[in-house]
Amino acid sequence: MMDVALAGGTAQPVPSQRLFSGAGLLALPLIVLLAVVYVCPVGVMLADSFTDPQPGLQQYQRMIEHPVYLQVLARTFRLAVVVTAATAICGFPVAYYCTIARPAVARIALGLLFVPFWASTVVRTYALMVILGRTGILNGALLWAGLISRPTQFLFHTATVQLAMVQILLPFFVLPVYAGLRTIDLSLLSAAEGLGAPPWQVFRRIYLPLSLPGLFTGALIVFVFCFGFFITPTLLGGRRDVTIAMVIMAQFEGQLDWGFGAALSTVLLACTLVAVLMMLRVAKQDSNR
Amino acid sequence: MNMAADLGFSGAGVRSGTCLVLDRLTRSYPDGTVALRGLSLSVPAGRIVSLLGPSGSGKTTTLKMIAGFDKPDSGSITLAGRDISRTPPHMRDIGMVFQNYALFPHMSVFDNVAFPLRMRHRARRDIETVVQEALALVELQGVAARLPRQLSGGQQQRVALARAIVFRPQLLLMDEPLGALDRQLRKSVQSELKRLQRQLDLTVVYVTHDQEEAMFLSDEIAIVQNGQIVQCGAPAALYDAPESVFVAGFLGESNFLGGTLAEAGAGRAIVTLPDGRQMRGRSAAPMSAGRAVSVLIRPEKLQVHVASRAPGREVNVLAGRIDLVNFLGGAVEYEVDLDGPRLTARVHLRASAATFAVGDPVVLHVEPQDCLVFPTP
Ligand SMILES: Nc1ncnc2c1ncn2[C@@H]1O[C@H](COP(=O)(O)OP(=O)(O)OP(=O)(O)O)[C@@H](O)[C@H]1O
Ligand SMILES: [Mg+2]
Repeated sequence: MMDVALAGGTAQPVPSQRLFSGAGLLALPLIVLLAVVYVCPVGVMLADSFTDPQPGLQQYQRMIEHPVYLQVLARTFRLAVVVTAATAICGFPVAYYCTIARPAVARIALGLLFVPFWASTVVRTYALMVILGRTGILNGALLWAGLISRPTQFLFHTATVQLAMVQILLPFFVLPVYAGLRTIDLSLLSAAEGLGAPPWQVFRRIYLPLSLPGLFTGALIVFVFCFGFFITPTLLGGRRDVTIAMVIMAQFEGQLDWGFGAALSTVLLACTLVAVLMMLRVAKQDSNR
Repeated sequence: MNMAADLGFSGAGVRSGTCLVLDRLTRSYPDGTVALRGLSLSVPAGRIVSLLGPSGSGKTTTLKMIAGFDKPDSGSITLAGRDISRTPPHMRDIGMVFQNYALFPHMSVFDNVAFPLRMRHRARRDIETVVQEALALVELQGVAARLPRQLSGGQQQRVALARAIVFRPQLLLMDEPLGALDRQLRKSVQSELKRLQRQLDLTVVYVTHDQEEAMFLSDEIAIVQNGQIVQCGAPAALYDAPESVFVAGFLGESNFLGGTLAEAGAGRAIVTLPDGRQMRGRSAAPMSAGRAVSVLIRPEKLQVHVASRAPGREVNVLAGRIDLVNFLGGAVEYEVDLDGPRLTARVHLRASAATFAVGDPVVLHVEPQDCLVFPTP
């Protein structure tokens, strides 16, 4: 992710002198922690997927023999793409607005964006159920206004899941994008205009390309989050909205089939890595153009 | 360079007529700052006109108005006979070089320079030729493929210039374009700029803090003070006949002697200094006797003589003592203490010129036509 942020067009010279030579040591505790809580479990998971209950590839074979698992994976991927795109479309104008608003207004806008952070995803998802449920606020309002005669079920649709995920993930997108947009020198826009570019060309040729590093960072965060989402789809989705994370949970909790759970997790991890690498590749090409 | 003529990318001889007219522009900001108070200016085609003035006097604001990035509260802007006051910036056909250059960091040098042509939907083949030509003009052919951050400050400055002139705008605006360059480089870029301006017959409005730069580059200098142009004219005219103490003080170096007007008439004035000595000079404005005045004397107009060999003249002779000697290379500057007032005299070093040391008694002399008398503001 570091790489995406740095791949951008801003021409900051890299300081040639380190602050002080021991700085690397300060990062050591975090590196150790990451090794213990991240690298080790992933290793165990990988090992499990090939050895539990007996050595061999049978867990992966099972995955291919039952197409339902790959279907769920594909559906999760589609969900991630849709939610990332929707978050980007909703979040970009917000981030842009925060850069042009007066500082005080921008601070309030960013603050409001973060209020939901104080509650956990579970609470926020339940809140949406309260709003969208049969006896929820939305139905109440629509009935009162006479727009509908019977309560409508807004829950358990794919669109509801997507809406909720966009709402939950928006801050993760807006913040890096806002940070990226802030570094764009606004005199470049004037310069482009003065050189004959109408407003939409200024946006397309100057503003958008310069905001890409931030956009990629934000999109990457959202995309990776989407792949692992299960609370929101579990609570708000219907039977068609099962994600790969939900299936994995079921293996560990319900079926107690750790080997198969590990194999599914490995595939999920591999897919995420491939997607991230592809996005990084695109970002790099774009900034070298 | 024949191709240049074919594409219309070369000078067409000095045009005549007026390119740009600013008529009584005003602009105030919501916080109450008045940036422009009725600024008027006329820029002849094919000339460089510099806006010179102290910080905050409204130079940048004026350029923004011309470019269209800001709108005047009242007044009009006419470019080549067309009122452009309400025209959006991208339709004004004006090139601009920003102080920080504003090069597009994600585009190569070539793409930066090609940008205005692409926005004008020029044919691909044309673009290639015209861009290469513009880069050749600023001697940057070799770096077309680089990104701006891979260039030195001077090279970036030249890319910005190439980009601003590649589409042959009717007018070129430059806001302190050399501010970020070191002195050595500034000098050479100034000469280069002047050559290009003549070669391409550009009309330029140039903003600078630097009076030497303004005098070197400009056909005309407009002195801006407080959102107005207080005097406009050829550099020599402004230097020799400033209309106010402000202009005199801003352009070139100057000595001022305070006094009272003893006699005035027919453009001539006699001033009594506080110690009773009298000076003769030209009056810059009609004034009546008894008024407080300032006498302007340029340092190079003062002659320094050995005290014992005073010139056999009675007028404008001031005795004093050398207080400080500043060596400037080709010239030397003497600060002379006149028992109260101090004057700076600049003497070019020639083999025959006498030199003085600190403490030497001297006599200063200045011709009456080189003493300009202003009412003290
Ligand atoms: N956006 C703004 N809001 C309020 N006041 C402004 C704004 N922009 C400029 N001003 C004021 O308008 C006046 C003119 O500013 P301007 O930038 O034109 O000065 P300048 O002559 O270019 O100065 P400098 O030589 O320092 O660049 C100044 O007093 C400045 O403080
Ligand atoms: Mg300025």
